[in-house]
Amino acid sequence: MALLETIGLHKGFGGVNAIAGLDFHVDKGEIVSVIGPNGAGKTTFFNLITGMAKPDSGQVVFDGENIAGLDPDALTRLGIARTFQNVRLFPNMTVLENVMVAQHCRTSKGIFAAILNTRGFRQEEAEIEQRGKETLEFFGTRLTGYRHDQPAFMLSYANRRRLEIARALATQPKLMLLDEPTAGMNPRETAELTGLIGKLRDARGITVVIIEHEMKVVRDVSDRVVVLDHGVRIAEGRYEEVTSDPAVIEAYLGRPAGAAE
Amino acid sequence: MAITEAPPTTSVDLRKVLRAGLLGALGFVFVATIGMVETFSTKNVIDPILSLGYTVLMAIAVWTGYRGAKAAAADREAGAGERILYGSAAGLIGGLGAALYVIWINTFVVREVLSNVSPRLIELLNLGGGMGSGITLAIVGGVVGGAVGALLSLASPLMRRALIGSFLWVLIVGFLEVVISQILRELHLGFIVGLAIPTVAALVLTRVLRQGPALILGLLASVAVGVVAAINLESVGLSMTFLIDFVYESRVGGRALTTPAAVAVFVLAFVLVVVTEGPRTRARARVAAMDPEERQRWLFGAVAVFLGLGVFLPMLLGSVVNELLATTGIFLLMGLGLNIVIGYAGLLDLGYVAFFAVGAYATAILTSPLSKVSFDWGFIATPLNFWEAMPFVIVAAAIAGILVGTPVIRMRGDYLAIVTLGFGEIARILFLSDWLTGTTGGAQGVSRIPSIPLGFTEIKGTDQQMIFYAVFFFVLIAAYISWRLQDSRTGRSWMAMREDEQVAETMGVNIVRAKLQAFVIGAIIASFSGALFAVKFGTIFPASFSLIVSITVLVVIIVGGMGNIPGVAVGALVMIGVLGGRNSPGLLREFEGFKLLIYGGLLILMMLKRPEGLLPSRRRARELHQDEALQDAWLRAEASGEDDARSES
Amino acid sequence: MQLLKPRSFRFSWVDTFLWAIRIGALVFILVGVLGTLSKAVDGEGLTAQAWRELIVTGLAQGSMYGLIALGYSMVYGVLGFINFAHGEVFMAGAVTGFFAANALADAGVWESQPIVGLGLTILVSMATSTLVAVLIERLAYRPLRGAPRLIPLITSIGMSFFLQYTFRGLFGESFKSYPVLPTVMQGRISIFGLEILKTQMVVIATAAVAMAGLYTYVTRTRMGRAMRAIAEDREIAALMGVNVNRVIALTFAVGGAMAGVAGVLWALLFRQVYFLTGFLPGIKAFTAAVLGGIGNMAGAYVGGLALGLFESVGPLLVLDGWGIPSVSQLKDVVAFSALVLILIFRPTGLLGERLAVEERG
Repeated sequence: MALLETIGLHKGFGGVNAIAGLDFHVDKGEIVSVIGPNGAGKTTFFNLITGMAKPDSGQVVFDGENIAGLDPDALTRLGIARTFQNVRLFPNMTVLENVMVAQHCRTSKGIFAAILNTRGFRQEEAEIEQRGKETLEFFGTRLTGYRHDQPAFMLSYANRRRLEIARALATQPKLMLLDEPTAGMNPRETAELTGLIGKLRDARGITVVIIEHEMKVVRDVSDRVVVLDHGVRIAEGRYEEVTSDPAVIEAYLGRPAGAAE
Repeated sequence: MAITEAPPTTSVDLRKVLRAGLLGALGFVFVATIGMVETFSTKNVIDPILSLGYTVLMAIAVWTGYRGAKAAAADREAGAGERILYGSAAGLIGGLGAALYVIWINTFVVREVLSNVSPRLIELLNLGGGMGSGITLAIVGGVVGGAVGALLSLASPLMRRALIGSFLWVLIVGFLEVVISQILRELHLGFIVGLAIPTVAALVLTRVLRQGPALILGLLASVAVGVVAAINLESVGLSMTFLIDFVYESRVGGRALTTPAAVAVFVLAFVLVVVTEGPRTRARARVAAMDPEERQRWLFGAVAVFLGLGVFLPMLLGSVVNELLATTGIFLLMGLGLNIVIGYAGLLDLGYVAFFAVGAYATAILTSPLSKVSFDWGFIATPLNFWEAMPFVIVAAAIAGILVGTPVIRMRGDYLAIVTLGFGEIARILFLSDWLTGTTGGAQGVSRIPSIPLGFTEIKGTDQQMIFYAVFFFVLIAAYISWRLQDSRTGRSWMAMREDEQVAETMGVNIVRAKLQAFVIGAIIASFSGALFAVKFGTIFPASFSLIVSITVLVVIIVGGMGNIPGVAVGALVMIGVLGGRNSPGLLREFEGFKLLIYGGLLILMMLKRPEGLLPSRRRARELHQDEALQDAWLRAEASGEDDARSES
Repeated sequence: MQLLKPRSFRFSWVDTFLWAIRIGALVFILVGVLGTLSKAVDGEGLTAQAWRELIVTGLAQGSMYGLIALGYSMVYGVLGFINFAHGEVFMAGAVTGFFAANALADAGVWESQPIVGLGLTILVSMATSTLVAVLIERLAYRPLRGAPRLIPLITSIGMSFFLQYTFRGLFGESFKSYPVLPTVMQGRISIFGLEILKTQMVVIATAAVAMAGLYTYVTRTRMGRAMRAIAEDREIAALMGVNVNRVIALTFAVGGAMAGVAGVLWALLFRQVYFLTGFLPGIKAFTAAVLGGIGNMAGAYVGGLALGLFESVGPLLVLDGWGIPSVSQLKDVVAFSALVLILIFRPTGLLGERLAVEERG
């Protein structure tokens, strides 16, 4: 059962077709990697799914509903979460506050409840804090204890990436989109994160779509790999199939010299 | 291979010394030419010898010397002699520049162009004598001031803070003459006893009993005893009026400190600063290390003290000061509202006065018997009283908030600023226009706004003390609302939106709703302020609702400390109390003409040096000094031997 | 794969509100115009001559807005914030121009050789405005170059007030009246059958010449190219060897110079200047810059002309038709409403924005 599906998705920016007719699907419980050379349209693809850009045409179907054109906050409420290629945390909010604010769409107490300090409000605040801490524990002890009250800009790079994932996790998504989650990490951190991605699916039942350049991660974590180039899907399948597909190799490396046109 | 250290630079950067001197001269010329020296010379700091005008010039000289000495000492070992040399040199350069200026204004009649270079100014700069004495004064003053500045740079940071602080205290005690005289006049034995009993009881009881009903009962009882004692002892009299004449001397231009009093204040302040340095640092460390529980209790304690002051002080202060406090309170109320819009939600609203106006006009139109708007719904009919009008005012403000907020939702920060500024101006023009005169009274405004009924009594607009209590009441409400919203789901969504709107939306925050909420709450609080303003003055005119009000409130929260309730209070006290509000001059009448110049200069200075404000929230200070915060954290981690890498992989 | 029915029209309060404003504005304007037309048909209202005069007045005023708008536009394009103090840069030129004009009048040059007189006055005004603009950049804006956006904005607000009241302190709060126009510049002149005030002609012509000069400078010279490079992408420009500090100072200088010209032109039309002269024109000039497309030089000029026309013709064309009394009081309301509407209808302005890479989207 496809959790997310795009049909004939199109998006152009001033004459350049970033996405030119993209058909894509991911089933519930899958971990799919999206790869492709730079400029293939991968991040644009994420932007379209999360509502940060509106498609020119085509359908995006999530959990049976056509979601094209919805605003990002509505999509998050429906269960889609994402991380960003260049980590975009809330730098001056603390680690804990970052994962607390991510629960905004799952909670309801508003201004009146806050001002009147009702019992429901206090209860909800306690729950938010508790759930935030539990989400952070997903990463072991890295983001716990004294780190709760550290402003996010103080974290090391790897911790920032982890916090981004934790924050996305705190929105209680059905589908998580990770944009180059291991960029800039050293091999040990990468390996740990690879394990965590699997845990996202196994322990939390979250469907994951990852944009990755690091082939080792792609190989270790994906059920399926989708290759994009120039805004279309040029190959799809298991890691071994895809990496030996001549079209894929050509997209990355170009045609061998002297080969036929 | 041995690492060679870079040799210390041995030559003084003379350019920096020169620059310090030139800047000093420029400061001198500026302050003199715009008329500040002349106006300030009517106010004496220490009677009879030191006027505010001369004080400003002296301060410039000292500052020049300080900068010169610092320049000499930069990156090198500089002894006392060298520093004094270069400090005085910078002072000399400044003095020479000032002397040239003195020659110029003595020789040529520049008054046609520079209209504030008056004969009086020339007389002041010449110290009564001719041009010669003016030149001498400039040069000598420069050198001496420079030397003093140099000495200041030699002193240890503690000494320096103590010296400057004590001097500032002399100024403050001088400026607050009206307040202090008033308090001394009212302060009689009964009052002191009445205050002392609850204070002592509080200290004892909080130590002995734990939190709970017993403690509260005990505190209330002590307050009651105190009040009874105060009332009974009132007839005994015995006030402190005698002290007033010792401290202040009456002069044509108002009262100023007597010389012995000035010296006494200086010495007292100096001693206190030095002696309490240790305990204060320790206390600060304790506060920083407190856990949230303890901090809550101290917070409640501080709020209780504030409440007490708010209730008791106005009884002492007399009508003039109370009026000033009431005006301060009105601006403080607006500051709290704008703090939510800008400080929490990050929306730079420059048209805040529009909401203030809506509140004032709504109150006026609904409560004034002269109003041209009337309705009669049976159970309720105009003219309404203040409380009946309140719901309408709130609704009107909310609608205004939505009307202003909705078009600007998708706009970039700067555009939002200008558009809201435009809305503010549109509001004023509409209130003034002939077109709407039927409702708003046009240029005549609305008058005969009645007092606020309170059951057994009423708060008349002319009774400054009662007005202050009304304002204080609303300030407490607004402060409470601000405080509760800060640590709430809504407050967090605002913070996230302020940090990164796009990402906040991706995290599930409905940006439209968040922005509108901020605008509406801000509008409602401003409308309270407007309502109180209307009652206080009894008549409102469109001229009172200009851009300057919006800017004043902006300055209040920026100078005080944005995003931070005590900071806004400090900002209001400083800006309005000292410099004066819209219609009433502050403690220092002399500043009146330079109020906006000082606002502008302060904004620039604060943004350059201390953008987080005078009393910033820890978070805001951290935000604006991220590099330093990072460095601090790194140093702390190093010191405690923590290995960040260890917890990484 | 079955094609699912797309989500039906998504209801958004904000979009509905904005559409209501759009439609409301259009209806308001149309009804107003119709009302005015019916008045004209009835023989009331303004004569054709009066309308022509209004248009010329609007163009003259708009030329000045355009010159001032250039400064706002260029600074916003390069540094990304509104220089609130630019209105005071304009005022500085106008006020010092007054002293120059007075001196020239005393020397008789103002009347006997009006072109020389005017030229010298404009030079003095330009010099002052340029100096003030460069100074404020150096002292207040340069140190804040990397700061979060709110901070330079607030600094410029502070600088605006500081300059206003410095000038008040220096030169007093009274109105300064420029000397009586030289006789050759008094009265009207007939151009293409249109009768306009000679001063208006001078204003429109001078502004156009200044604008053309600036345009040539920016598009043809090395420095102009550097300015455009920095406006595109400051970091890359620096890597390409452009001295960013100097070029930014130049940008401020050029904007200041244009404002200085506008200062004297303003005095030609309105005769009186004082320390607050810059406030309202400053805001309106920024509106003009946004109207035409921020960062876009031609846009600033076109926006200025457009705003001048809206302001001049609008009240009588639209508001009068609704029967609103004393419409000229509401001139400023029209100007500000134009700003709001443009930002709702077409946020990138009439001629489109030109912003640095990081500002877009």
